[in-house]
Formats: sequence, C-alpha cells, structure tokens
Amino acid sequence: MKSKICLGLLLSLMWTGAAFSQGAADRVSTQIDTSRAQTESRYSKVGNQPQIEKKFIPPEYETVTVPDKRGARQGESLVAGQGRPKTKRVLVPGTGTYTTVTRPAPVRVNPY
Amino acid sequence: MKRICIILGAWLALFGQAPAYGQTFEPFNQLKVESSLPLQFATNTLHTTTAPRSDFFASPSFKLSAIEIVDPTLNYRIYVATNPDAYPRVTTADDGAVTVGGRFDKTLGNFNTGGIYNHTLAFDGIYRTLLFQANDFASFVGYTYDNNAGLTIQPSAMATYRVTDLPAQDRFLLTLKADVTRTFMEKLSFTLTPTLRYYAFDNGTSAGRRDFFPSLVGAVSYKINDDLSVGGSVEYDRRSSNVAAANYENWIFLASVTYGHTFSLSNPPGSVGRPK
Repeated sequence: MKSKICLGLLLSLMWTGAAFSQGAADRVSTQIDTSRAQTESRYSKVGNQPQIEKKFIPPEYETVTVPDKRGARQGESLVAGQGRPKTKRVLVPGTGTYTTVTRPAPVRVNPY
Repeated sequence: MKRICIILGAWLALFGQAPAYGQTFEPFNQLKVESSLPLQFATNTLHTTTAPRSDFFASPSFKLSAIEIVDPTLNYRIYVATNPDAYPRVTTADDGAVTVGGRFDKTLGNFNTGGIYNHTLAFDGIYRTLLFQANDFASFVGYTYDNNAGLTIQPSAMATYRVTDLPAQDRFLLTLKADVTRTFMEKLSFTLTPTLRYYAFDNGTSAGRRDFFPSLVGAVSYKINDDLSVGGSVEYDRRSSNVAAANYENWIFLASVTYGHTFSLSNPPGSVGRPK
C-alpha cells in the first residue's frame, strides 16, 4: 500500500514537473516571437549605412567650329570657295567620367 | 551551446581566412553591431489565462551581423543574437534566448522578399536551464509604399516552420503585419503595427492546437543621430486558442535606448564606401 502511495506521489510530481516545463517552454517560445518582432523593429531604425554608388556618366559630344589658324578672315575664304569653316567634336565637360551618388540605406522589411 | 560553437567554427573555417594564390576573398563587406536596452512593464508576465501577474522587466539585447551587399538589390547576412528577460518580482518568468541565424533579402521594385533561418536556444531563467532548441525556417514577402512626404506603409507576410527537440513546440506560424510609419523632420517617427499570427501545432502533446494571436503596437522613436535612438511603445497581445488554458492577454509598456553601427569591411560592388 505504501509503495502504491509513493509511486502515485512520484508520478504526480513528475507530471506536474513536466507540465510546468511545458508551460515554461510555451511561454518562452511566445516571448521569443514577440520580443524578436519588437527588437528587430527598433534595430531597423539605427546604424543603417547609406549607399554610395559609383555611377558612369556616358560621354556626350558637341560640334564646335575651329578658328582658322592661318589668320585668314572667314569671309575671304568663303568667297574664294576654298572650303567650309573647320569643325571638330569635343567631349562635353562632366561627361564620360565616374561620379558618386549617395542613396539612403535600402529599405528592409521587418517581417517578424 | 556546443552546436553553436560548431556552427560558428564552421563559418570561421570556411570564410575566416584568405584563400591561396594571394587572392582576397571577402564573403562579407559589412559588420553591424546592434544593441538595445529596454525597460518594460507587462501586465501578464506568465501568460496565464487567469490571475495574471504584472511586473517590470529589463531585456537587454545584442546582435552582431556580418553582411554582404552583393548588389543594391541583393544582400545576405549571418548573425548571432542574445536577449534575456529579467524580472525583479516574478522571477519564474525569467528567460533567455541565444540565436544564430542567417537571412537574405532581395528587392524587386517596391517588393522585398527573402528567407530566414534561426537556430535558437531557449532558456528558463537567465540562461539557467535549456528548455529546447529550435530551428526556424522562414520565407517572407513585403511591400514598401513611401509617399516621399514622411509616410511609409510596409505590409508583409511570413511563413515559418519551427522544428524543436521538444515536439510540443513544433509548429507552423503565419505572420501577417503592417508597419505604418509617419516620420517628422527625419528624427521623430510614430509607428503603428497591427499583426496577426496564426499558429498550427502539429506534434507531441500540442498536436491539433490552433492559436490566433492578434497584437497591436504603437511606438514612438527619436533619432539622436544615425546610430542612436530613444523610444517607447505600448503593445497589446491577445491569444485565442482551441486549448482553453492557452488563452491570455497582455499589455506591454516599453522605454528603450537603441544603438546600431555598421562598419565597412570593404567596398561593395559599385560603391566607394561610407560618406564623410
């Protein structure tokens, strides 16, 4: 009889212990989910590094008239029919080079 | 803990040294440190259906991430994080968690999608007794609406499956939420976050259990500078389950200081580093 009572007591203690442990596991599991959501939300607002991108500006050219180096007047040349004014293609300043563009840190969704 | 050491060791062994032939192989170009010190007050610290016990609690958190920005639309990271909860009166509610994980994010226009893996060690007490170890596998999709006048709305959906060494905690979780944020002068922001979580337990003594867990969080945050912010929030949680003993509701009030800083390890492709 005594051994039955002892066994019953032991089983009841084990069941209570297991139930308590499972209750604690359930509570901690939920706590992890809710705190992770809150913590990640706070983290997302600090320490985000803006992105600086190196961007290539494609070259653009324009045509300019080249002054006659011989010193002849333009009118004379045209009248004589010896040719048109000389032109050449030059690179527009600021193109054909790399520039840096700063963008805000990429938006990251907090799905928790 | 042994498993975490093995995982960290494997990462270090794989990526911690430069390969031969003098080539520089850098798997990560950023290192981010994040930490938060919140003081909280909860009305139901033990998540009980009846006779809730309220208490203050401190829950300092720390996270260290190694990040690779592959290109402006793709990045991945690995991290280790920890977060204990210490209660002065209801000490039976003390808990702790250590997480090692990884995440990748892909941006497609205004959409953001990705995957997350977390290996978590959940402790009863402040890292006193290991309750269970969990492996969470998650994928998510989110959308960002920005009206360029301070209003941002980010709805998202995430599906997670948790496998643990405690079968009663194996479950599927669907999280639907939206962050509605209004920012003033780039410093002050107010965020309202309605969330709906649906849990489906499928193993052990919890098999068949279904929980609806709606919550609402109202938060305010003030950025002191790019790396430091102070804030506060009020959260209401309510769990409705087909297992009556699992029902509970809880209010959580929080005030916190949060720090985060990103260190450049190398310049990501197409970039020239941090602005001066």
